[in-house]
Amino acid sequence: MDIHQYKIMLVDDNQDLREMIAGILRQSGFENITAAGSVAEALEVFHREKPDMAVLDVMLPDGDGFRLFQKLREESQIPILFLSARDEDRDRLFGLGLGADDYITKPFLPPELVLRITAILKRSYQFGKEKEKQESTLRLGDCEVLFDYGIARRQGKELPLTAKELAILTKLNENRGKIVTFDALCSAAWGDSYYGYENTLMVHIRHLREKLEEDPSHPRWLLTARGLGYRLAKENV
Amino acid sequence: MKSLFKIIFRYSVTAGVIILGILICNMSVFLFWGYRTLEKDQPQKFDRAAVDEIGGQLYQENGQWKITETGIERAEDIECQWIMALDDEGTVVWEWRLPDDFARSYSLQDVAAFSRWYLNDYPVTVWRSGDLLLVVGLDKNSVVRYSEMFPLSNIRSIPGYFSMAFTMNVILILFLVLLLGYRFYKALRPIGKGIEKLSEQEPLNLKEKGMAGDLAKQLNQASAILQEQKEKLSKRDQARTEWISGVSHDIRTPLALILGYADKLKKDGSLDEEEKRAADIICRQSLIIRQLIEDLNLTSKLAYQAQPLKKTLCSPAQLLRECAADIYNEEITEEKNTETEIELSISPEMEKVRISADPGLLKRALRNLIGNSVRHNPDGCQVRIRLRRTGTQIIWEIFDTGKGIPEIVVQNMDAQTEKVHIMGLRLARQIARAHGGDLRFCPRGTGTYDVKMAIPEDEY
Repeated sequence: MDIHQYKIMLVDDNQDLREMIAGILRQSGFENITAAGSVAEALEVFHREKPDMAVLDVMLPDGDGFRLFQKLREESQIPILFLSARDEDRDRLFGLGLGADDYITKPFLPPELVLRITAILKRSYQFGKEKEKQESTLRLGDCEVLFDYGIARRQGKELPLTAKELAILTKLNENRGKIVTFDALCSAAWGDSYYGYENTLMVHIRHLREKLEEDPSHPRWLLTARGLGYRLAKENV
Repeated sequence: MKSLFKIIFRYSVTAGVIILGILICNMSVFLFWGYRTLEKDQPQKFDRAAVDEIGGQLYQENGQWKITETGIERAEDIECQWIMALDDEGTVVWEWRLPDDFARSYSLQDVAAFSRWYLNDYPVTVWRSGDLLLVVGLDKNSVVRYSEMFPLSNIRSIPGYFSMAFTMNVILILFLVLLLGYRFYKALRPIGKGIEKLSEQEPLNLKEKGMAGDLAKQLNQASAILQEQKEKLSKRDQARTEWISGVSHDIRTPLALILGYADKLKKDGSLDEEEKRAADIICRQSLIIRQLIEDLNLTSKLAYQAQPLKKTLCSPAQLLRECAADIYNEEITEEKNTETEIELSISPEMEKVRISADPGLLKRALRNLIGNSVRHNPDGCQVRIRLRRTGTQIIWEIFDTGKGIPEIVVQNMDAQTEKVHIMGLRLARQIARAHGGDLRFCPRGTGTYDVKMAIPEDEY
């Protein structure tokens, strides 16, 4: 099933905002969108439409989104995202603590909302299918990394990657295009007590470049952010 | 409580000294006065010398005892009533103003009796003068004759008694002073404790009894007033924080609409470049408003202690790297700030340092400080951040090759006039202060400033 066919229920007391979010989602290809403006209406829509995912506001005219969340959870395990104007850490933690899949504060950038909704739907419904296939393979020019097999394939040759190299590359791939600090990379490879591993990290990065890059001394993919960490360049760069 | 003890101690010492002083003063006045009256109230000019002198003026002429004119004058001088002289037989051989009803001859028993007491109700004093016994009669109405015998041991122990009485008195005085002092201390102790509590703004409930009952009552009243004011103030602070929190909440939904639609317009193919640029500006400014309301909310919570620090053990070097990476990832993109570079200078020693701090807030402060350097130099600049330690302080020093922080901003850090564009800087300072540190501004020499953030290192 295409990710865009999942039915999404929007619950927010502000009609303008409901319409805007619905518009953003439609523009991104989502077709089945229903909306509700209160707890009562949401429950009714939920029973009638059986949505695959819900986006809930926390403050509603006849109750709060957290209670609505609990009511929905009694009947269903659909993924739920809170979209709230409350930016307090405790609200965020409370929402996530209840078991919500994500918590976004208003105002938000529309692409961010779309990305998060897409990610939640993928995680909830397509785990082990498309997603695994997509994410377990990384293309870097003429090089292909198969995470499941722990190998890099280039020009017909297969080069095995060590566990540490895989952990580092996974971390970089999760944040592709962004700088990942030494600390985050070391922590991914060695756990929290990573102090003193910076030099070892450099060695691993060098080995990775030898395996992945066409010209390891002038890397195209695995870039150094001086004094900060490393970055895995995006495809189009 | 120490101060109260000091007051009582001083009071006791002063009281003791005063009592001793008064005692000594009294004694000397008494002695002086006693001596003076003793001298004054003696029968005038009646003394041993005068009687001796009168005795010396007696002379025998033809077997008759007579007195010279000088002797008569002297006798009149001493204001006695009468004088007689007895020979060894007890016979009166000379007399002066001796009343007629007096015997003119006395036996040994008579002499013995009157020499110690009275003769015909006249107080009498007896003096031997040559072979004669001179008997002087004094005024019945002005002199009392008293004769007593004391055991020698009694007389001898008088100085002992005196010194013992003195010592006892001193001990008694000391005891009384200490007792009163202690009672005073005891009565005032709750008051002292009350004032101490009052200064710490704790509620008071003193017993309104005893020596300091009134004081206690007034202190209780003062405490009640203070508590009431404190409550009102905290209610007002809370109301303000809640109000700001409410406003920032209410702004979020409309802002979400503005941001959402501006973003949509930005990507709308039917708009020309000019319109798209306008939509982009709306988008960017909305994001700035979002940042501002977040800052405003946090700043009001920090100001009224509504935001407790979530302290954990964290690495200043790691926090700095994460901030720099975040800024690279979010603010230095292909579209903007392309010329900007952030360079970190962290010594290997600093890598080992761990501090107890709220990492979220510290990162926020660093983001604001480094972000200022990036944002205010859109044409690009080199930002250099040095992490170092002096004494027990961890210091992040932020230098850039750009414009620097203007003098007016540094001057307005404490001003009441709200200049919204320095809220980020103020928030950073608030966060530093919440951690026991501060921001420092270092003049560049060109009229602008660089900024440093210092946080005390905890004992770990």
